Amino acid sequence: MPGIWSIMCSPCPPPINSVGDINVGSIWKATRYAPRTPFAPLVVLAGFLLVLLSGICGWAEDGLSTISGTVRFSGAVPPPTIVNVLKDPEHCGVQVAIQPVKVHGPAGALESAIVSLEGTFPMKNFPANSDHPVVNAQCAFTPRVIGAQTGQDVEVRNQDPILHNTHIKLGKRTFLNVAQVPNGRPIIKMLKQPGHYSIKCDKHTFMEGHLVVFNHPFFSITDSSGNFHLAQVPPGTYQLQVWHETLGYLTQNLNIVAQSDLRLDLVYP
Amino acid sequence: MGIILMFTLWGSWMQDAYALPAFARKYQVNCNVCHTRQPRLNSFGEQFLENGYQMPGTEDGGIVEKLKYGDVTLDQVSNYLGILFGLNALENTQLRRDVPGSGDQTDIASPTILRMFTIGTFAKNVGFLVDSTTLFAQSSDLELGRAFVTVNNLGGMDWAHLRVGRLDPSAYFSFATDRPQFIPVGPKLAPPFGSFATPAVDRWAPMPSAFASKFYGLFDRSRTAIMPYESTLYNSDKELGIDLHGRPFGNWFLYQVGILNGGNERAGDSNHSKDWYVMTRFDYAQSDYFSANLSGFAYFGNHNAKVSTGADVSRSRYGVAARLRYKWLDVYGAYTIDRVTDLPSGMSATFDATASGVTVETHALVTDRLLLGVRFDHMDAGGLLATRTSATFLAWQAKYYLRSNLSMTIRHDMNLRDAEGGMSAARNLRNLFSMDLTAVF
Amino acid sequence: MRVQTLMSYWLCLSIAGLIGHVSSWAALADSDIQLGQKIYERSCVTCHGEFGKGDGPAAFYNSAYSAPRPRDFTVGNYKFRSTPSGEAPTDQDIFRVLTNGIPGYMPSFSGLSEEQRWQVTAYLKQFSPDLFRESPTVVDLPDPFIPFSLKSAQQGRSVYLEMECQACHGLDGRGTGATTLMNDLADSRGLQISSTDLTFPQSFKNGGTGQDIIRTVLTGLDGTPMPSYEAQLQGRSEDAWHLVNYVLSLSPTH
Repeated sequence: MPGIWSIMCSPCPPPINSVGDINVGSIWKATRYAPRTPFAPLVVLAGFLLVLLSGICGWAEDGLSTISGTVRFSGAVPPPTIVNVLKDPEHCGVQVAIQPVKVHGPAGALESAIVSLEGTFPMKNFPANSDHPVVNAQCAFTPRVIGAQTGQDVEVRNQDPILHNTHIKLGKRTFLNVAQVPNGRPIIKMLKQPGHYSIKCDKHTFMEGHLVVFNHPFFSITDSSGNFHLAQVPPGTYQLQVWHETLGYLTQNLNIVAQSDLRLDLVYP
Repeated sequence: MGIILMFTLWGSWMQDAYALPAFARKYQVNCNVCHTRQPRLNSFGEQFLENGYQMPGTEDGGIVEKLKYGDVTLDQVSNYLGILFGLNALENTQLRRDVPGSGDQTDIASPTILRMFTIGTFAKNVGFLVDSTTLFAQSSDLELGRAFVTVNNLGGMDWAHLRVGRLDPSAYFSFATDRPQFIPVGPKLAPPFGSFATPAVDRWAPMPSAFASKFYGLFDRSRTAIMPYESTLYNSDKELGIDLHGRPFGNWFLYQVGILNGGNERAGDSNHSKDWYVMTRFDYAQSDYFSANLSGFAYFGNHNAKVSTGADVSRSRYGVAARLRYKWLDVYGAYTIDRVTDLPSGMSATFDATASGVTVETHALVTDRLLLGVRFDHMDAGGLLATRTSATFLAWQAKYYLRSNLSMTIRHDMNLRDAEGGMSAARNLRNLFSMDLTAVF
Repeated sequence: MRVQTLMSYWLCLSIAGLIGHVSSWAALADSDIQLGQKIYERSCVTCHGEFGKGDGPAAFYNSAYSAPRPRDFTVGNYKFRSTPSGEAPTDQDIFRVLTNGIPGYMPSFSGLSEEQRWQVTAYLKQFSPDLFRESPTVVDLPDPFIPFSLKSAQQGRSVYLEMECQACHGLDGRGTGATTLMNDLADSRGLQISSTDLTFPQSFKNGGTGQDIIRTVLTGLDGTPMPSYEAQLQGRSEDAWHLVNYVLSLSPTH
């Protein structure tokens, strides 16, 4: 840890940068594949050191806000798509039911929607060091929807005893097209460009996943209760976007004043 | 039917990985790199042709797999030779029933065309073509077709390309005479043949009207009748001459000038006053799978034909053509006006000195292998008023490519004016159905 | 005074010379691209289109309703690379394709001089500047090299099966694997694509020599379903060459 601090302190980077470190961690808590329990004490420790350090370097910066809330779906949930599996049915099953609209509870909490802020932020170069696993398991990508930040890595793994061909594309352009034999090596690649990436398997065409990459840390994926949480948001005017792979976009313009705590309830359609 | 079955089996058995004809062999590419579908060229093929059988923008002389003999580089023999063979599996001719002595006729399994060509480059910027064609409907002799040498990129890349020999003047025109999707159907002729004799036409030849001679009662310099449906002048498939073309200002503009014998002579050149022509072409669009071009020519004839009195006359032609290609669609058409001048003074009352023709053709590539085509022809005929008959035909065909160099065609030509009567061949042909197989190697 | 005049003349001359040199140098740097553009607009434009989108007037006919169509350089999917999946090709990769052509689909442009081919390479990169911003790293070829032998080819068969090449290329290598036969395979344009017949190396689009085959296997063909096997064959250099030798052994000429 001292090494990190010396790197951060010596060129005296913009203050938000250092605070953003915690910020990233807190967002990951909302996602399923965030670094969880083992890292929590570290995050707390880091926060403590940071407060201490900010006093020394004169980084005191306040006025950051929190946006949290829930995304819900009202109405009849469309039935799942049933696909007859022609390849590797002995492993994938003869039929696969695909339900991208995951709704929980009587309130209609919508899982796997990505909530993000669009706009210009007063700082750039957010630190990002985390990787996002894309796991081929039971002939499906787990997780199906991933939010990530540029500078982070994706790690493609295969847990199935059959060949998978993970093909990640940004638009038409191939980002990564890799074969994975059973027990094959995982493949790690850094995300450099923001945008919507599609994840497909050329062998099992029914397999589908989504990877949405932002060049800032202000995004969150809704959990099974439909909750999202955006922390450490600097004041400013933004557009809040909710994206779901089949339901599309919900947008709302926000004017964030300093040190506010905003709660939103967003409902599809 | 056995032959069709044989072709089908053979076509489906062989793989499409490689095309066979000369250039495809030489450059190891599929036919469709140069053709929309064999034989009509796409724009890459047009540029390859314009550059004297060299890759566009290069002076390569076809450097792939060349054998070197000092300064001269030659291709392997198989990369020089090509054969086109057409077989008419079934042909059904329906004539007007009130014409005495004629009725429907069905022919089976007759070869229609055999063309052998030697084509390629000797060295950088020097190319050549020699072909010989047998049209079995006319005779079984192998007749020398085109034979010319090209010298390319004179004065700079694409500035001037020269052709000398027996050549097809319209090669760079928006609607070239050569490489037709509708394979020319020959006429059925009956004697008398010979000096200043016009043979009786038992069956009209539905050929593109815009290219046709259009005049009744004209003879070439060797006193053989020029039939009104024959492709002549600028649209001739072979005439002795010198021709220069180029694109000095980039892809959008092409010029062509040339001098021809113009007399439709088999050999020699008895015509001391030559014909000459000029053509310009404008090309538009180079993206979005789209291209269009427009071209116009003027052909000035000088003593290039005779009338039955033996007097020399001059035939000239002026024409425009356009072509548009977008993805699966290929549309092209030409309109020409022909004039006969220097007529003997006594003939002006019995001879119409002006004629015109229009041909419009559309092809749609419905699948990778199926090409549907329609052609409309209208000839406003000229010549001897007593015999001249205008003609209007509509043809459609479905062409299925077993491989890119092997196709089966079903075709129907119909006479839109057969009800107008008259004893002319242009009217008594009602329908012509045919099934053809064409292979190029 | 005389010396001063002389000195000022000399200074002016030097500055002028320097400016001239620098400007001609700068002009040379972008004239390479401009010269490349001139060649592109004669030699390449009818298939690859004026804006490099692979939509030239002749682009549709090559295989019409199925893959491959001419490359869309603006997307940035380069099939024939020596670099990892998703990365830009090296200049040498582009130059190699220009020189060799692609069997069946793109003629060789070795009729262009070497210099001209480099100029076209420089121009092509302008169509996807984002892709070429970073200089690519080349995938290392497995070392040591194992030359062709029947024994090696036999060992390669088990690697072929382990890597499940047969899923697309079939057990006999004729490109008729189950996945291919189900017509599920598509390229980045969504056009149906077939698997290469491995018994016919003359038709391999990325080249048919052992070096070419290992490059294809390791890097994959971006924009097509052919994936990169770089990670799977990492640390297994012998197996990688056995696999290549097995593919070579499928051709009747071997």
